[in-house]
Amino acid sequence: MTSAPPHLTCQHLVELVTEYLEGKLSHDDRSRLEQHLCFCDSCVKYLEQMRQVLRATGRLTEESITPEAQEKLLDVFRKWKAGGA
Amino acid sequence: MIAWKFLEAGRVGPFSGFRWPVDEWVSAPEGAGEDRWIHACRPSDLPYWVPASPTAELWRVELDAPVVAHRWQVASPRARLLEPVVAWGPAVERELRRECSAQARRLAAGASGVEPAVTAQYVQTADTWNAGCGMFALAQLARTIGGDAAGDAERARQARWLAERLELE
Repeated sequence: MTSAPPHLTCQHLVELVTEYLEGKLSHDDRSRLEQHLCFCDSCVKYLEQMRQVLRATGRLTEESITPEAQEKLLDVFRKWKAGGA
Repeated sequence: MIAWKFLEAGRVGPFSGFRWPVDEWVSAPEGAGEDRWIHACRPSDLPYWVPASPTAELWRVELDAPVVAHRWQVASPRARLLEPVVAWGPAVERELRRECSAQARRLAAGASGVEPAVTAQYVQTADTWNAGCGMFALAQLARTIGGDAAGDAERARQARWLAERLELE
């Protein structure tokens, strides 16, 4: 058995959430994350928001977005990357 | 094997969303690996899984063989809910929170070599959050003061408290 402490912070959870939702975490890491969810309402809400985002965007393909919407999104992204958004 | 399982109100698995029937065997999906087996707690595991919700339920469950032991839970390919632990509820949760808070103060008062601001932060967490978080903060406080063994010992003390208070065999 590992001696790693069962200590997972909210920041750790944010870092691990994608792997958790994709079922890619090790058994112990998943346990640590779920133990944190038992008592941390904020992270429960965050996880639910991530699930909603995945449900909403998981169906989108490049072809399903209009060229105008695609250009707007790219524009926002470029501004964000340049630090202007 | 007899074990225990915290569920949300209405016998719903907190992570799976599965609504458990009572006294009916439920199987993990055919061919599922151990990761997707049914998880439950030994008494020593319970402190790690105390839920924040005041409406959460604790159930006694029977696990079919083979049962695989993990660090903080046991897993089986088949299980059934037997009966709720009626002693578990908001009153015990409040009692547990008060107990954690008092224990955190005792530990902090006897701590040496640890910044008072650090122990105060743990005590405040144990004072103000739900029981599960209080138990976590208390174990972290013990770990900060006395190392990993002290943290594990505090978790074992919490497990004994729960087992006695809830009369788990």
